[in-house]
Amino acid sequence: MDYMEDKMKAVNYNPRLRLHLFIVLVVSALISIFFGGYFTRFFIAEIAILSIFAMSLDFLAARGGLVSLGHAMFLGIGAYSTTIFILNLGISPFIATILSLLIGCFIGLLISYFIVVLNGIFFIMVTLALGEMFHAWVFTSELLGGSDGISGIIRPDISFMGIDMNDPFIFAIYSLLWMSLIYFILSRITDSPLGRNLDALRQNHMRLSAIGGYAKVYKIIAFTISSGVASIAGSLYVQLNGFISPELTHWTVSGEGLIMIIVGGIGSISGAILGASVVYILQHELSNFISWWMLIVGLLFILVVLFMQDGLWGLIEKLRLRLLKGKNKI
Amino acid sequence: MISFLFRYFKLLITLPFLFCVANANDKNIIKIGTLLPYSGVYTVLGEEITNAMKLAFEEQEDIFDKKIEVIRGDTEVKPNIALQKARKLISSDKVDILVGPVSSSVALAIRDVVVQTKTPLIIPNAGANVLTREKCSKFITRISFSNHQINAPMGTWMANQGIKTAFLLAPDYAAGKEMMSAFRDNFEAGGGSILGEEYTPFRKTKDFGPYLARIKNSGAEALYVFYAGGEAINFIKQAHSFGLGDIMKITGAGWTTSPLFLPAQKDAALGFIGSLNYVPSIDSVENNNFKKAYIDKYDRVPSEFAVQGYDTGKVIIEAVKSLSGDISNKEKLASAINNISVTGPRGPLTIDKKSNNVIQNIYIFEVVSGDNIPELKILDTIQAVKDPGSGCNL
Amino acid sequence: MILELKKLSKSFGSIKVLKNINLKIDNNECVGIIGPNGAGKSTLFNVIAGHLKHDIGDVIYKNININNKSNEQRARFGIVQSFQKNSMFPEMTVLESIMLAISHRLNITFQLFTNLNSNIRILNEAFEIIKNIGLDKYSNSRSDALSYGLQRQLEIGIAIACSPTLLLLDEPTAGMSPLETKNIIRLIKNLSKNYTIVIVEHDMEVIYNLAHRIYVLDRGKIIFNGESEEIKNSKLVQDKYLGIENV
Ligand SMILES: Nc1ncnc2c1ncn2[C@@H]1O[C@H](COP(=O)(O)OP(=O)(O)OP(=O)(O)O)[C@@H](O)[C@H]1O
Ligand SMILES: [Mg+2]
Repeated sequence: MDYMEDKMKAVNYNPRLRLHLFIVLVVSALISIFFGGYFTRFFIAEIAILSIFAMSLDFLAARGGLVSLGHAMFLGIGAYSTTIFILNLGISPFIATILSLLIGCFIGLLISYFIVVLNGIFFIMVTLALGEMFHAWVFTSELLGGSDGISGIIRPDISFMGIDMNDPFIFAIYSLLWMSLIYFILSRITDSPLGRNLDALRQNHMRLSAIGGYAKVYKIIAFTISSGVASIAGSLYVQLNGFISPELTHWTVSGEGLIMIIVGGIGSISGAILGASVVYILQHELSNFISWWMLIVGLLFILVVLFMQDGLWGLIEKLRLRLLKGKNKI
Repeated sequence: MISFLFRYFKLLITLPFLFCVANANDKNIIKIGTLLPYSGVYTVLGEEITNAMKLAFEEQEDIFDKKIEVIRGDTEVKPNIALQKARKLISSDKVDILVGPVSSSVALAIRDVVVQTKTPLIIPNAGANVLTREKCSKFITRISFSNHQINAPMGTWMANQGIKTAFLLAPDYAAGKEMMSAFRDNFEAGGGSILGEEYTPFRKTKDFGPYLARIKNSGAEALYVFYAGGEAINFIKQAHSFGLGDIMKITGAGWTTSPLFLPAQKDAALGFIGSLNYVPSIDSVENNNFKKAYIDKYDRVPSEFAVQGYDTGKVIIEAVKSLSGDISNKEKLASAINNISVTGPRGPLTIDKKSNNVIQNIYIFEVVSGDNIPELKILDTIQAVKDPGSGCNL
Repeated sequence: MILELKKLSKSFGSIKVLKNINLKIDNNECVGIIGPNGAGKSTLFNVIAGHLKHDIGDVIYKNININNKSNEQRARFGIVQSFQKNSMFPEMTVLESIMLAISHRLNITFQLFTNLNSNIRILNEAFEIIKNIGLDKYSNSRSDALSYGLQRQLEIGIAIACSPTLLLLDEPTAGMSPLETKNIIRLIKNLSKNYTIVIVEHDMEVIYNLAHRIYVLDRGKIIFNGESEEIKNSKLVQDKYLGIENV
């Protein structure tokens, strides 16, 4: 019995701050969508979708204590299954998203059944290996377009409602709706008995078993939910871009997702959205000016890891406390 | 709660506005947006193409009082990033012409946006056949090559040389397969036969030993191979120490012994026969002037990628000239680009009306020993090679 | 009878830690287990709770053989242990930890869309328990911010929040001040009205205060078993254990 086991750290559990931050982010996004141009709207849609992916990683890391470096695989599963549903089977894109969610959950369930017993670095390595296998397969698969990928994927057609999905304004709103839906579902689960048990599992799995918690089953559920969410992100991503290529399934995509949640603060869900936004905007802005932007992003990331262990969430929490104190004095 | 929200707003609301600002449009500037890799594995190609294109712009004194501004978009060789950059260049920077990309998957990713927004795109490298076949468009012009265009002539040429059997070897990705199948079609049409083929994991193969043994055992008269980058260097060296060149002719797509890799491959590359749309040893005024200018400015010998960038610059200038500097109508601009013929370092270039793919000479070369590093000696020039452009209706 | 161990043995590699243990615990009893350091007391608890698998012998709980039941299954049967080393959920507050434990007793841990922390019934129950373990002032402190003694109290609190039928307490007063020890004794005494308790302790004061019956464990063997008065008079135990302890 080793109590000193290495475990993932998460930010303070604080549903109120989580909601506040979420509202602020969504309102900022809406303002940008309304006043921004063509590019900005696409950009917001992209961030919303990436946020969904980041939330799936965040949920898994904070609730199950599982760090997956192969989660881009589920992004790929969602993306490619949506592509096949739309292009080969003629299924409408909206239903394709739902179906790809189910497929993602199912594959997540199968995989997690075998791998959740692994701990720490072993879990990371196995997910990495699975992700790489998937990437290699997609990369050479004729059916899936190989290294060049597949293009010409369409968005949901709701023109009968008088709405044109090809308008970036509409699609940005659509992505934002999905993001909000997933935020609410994941928050709900986080606050539920299962969510609290998953949190406990990450903190001290031995103690959880000792009071009767089915650690393995909880982990499987967390992984399955997270896979499904990542699949939705993949499905929306192909609809946004109209194409899919194997790059989306590369492990570095999972790595970037992890950077986003670390910057945002692991375990806060809305922190994942904040992290995704900040990292993505930063990447975009920097890469327009300097070609060694990756170095800067990397450096900033190291600084965050070293000096801000709760990420931006921690910063906001501190600021809020300070403001509260100041107010009380007056 | 409301007061909390208000405080957050102050912090956060400024963020999204950072990228809302649209650029003002100056009539006297021709904006060229590049969608090229400036970070990641293909950085060298991105830089070569941009440098050479700028060289072409600088050689031009002035075009109807207009200045040319190049706005860089780093694709990072990631299709999704490239797409995002394409949207930015088109809608925020309001570029007149896009130049890019290097890799085919990126080209396919940005294809729809370019066509929908009617932005002329000049492709200075990406070779996927479909770009000027099924996915062709009047707004997309390819000044570089199609994978078919480079490899098919070699099939005919080798069959004509009396070579009866060949073995195919390429990395396992779309371009590798397209090249091999182009070669195979023409080689078989000329009476040759393929005795075997291997596709190696893309950018992951370090040891070619097992493949070399299989190639040797096939008993083919020639090997037809395509590799690029580190794989090209490794393969050529390992094939040399294996002694493959003593058993059969090593031939292939010319990039395998690109001038970019020869300094590393050295004498191991000797005897390789390849086909390409440009070799430095072309003896023409245009090529000699270009090489001199490029070496003067950038202090290195230009590669075929630089040439493609340079020709892209030339085509842009000629197109703008032919419109007397009025590039406000994008459809006219696109059609002007497609009507240009120039003579560049690689020889005469015209754009195929059927598919908007370039019509150009293909050079069959052999690697021979040079002063310090090996040189590419031209064995044969196949004039005015076209891509079939099947599936494209322009 | 609630628990019976029959000819139970356990070894770590080549070291035999438990040798042929026979032990019986009746309903509503409070049984003490004493023995020198390294005797195998904690190991015995871990084997009973299923945290460690024993090698040979049987664990019989309420007349059912539970040899093959896992840790969590046994916990669900009502065998709950508190650990010698504080083992809690460091990032959770006292209240959250207790509510979590209650969620296990109510068997609602698979509910996905209800809110645990705003469930009034559970909340009230949790406050009740927190009051019992004397942590009312700390209900919103994070577990890892509590002092060692308070953590010990929480440790027991988590265990009793599961409403165990058989509560295994491993040195509940270890490292506590005399005052804190007194509190704990009072707490356990209250508990022992409702639960069957097995308690490991080095502090004989605590044992005499609480236990009806005492087992003495030495180098993996039970060397004595009887009422506290008998222990006090037993020469063997005095020599083996209490004597050393008093030196
Ligand atoms: N996981 C383990 N692996 C190997 N040996 C172990 C393990 N756990 C305990 N031991 C050994 O088993 C013996 C009994 O340990 P145990 O913790 O049960 O003693 P204890 O009676 O609780 O002692 P203490 O009074 O110090 O708590 C000790 O010699 C210990 O070193
Ligand atoms: Mg012990």
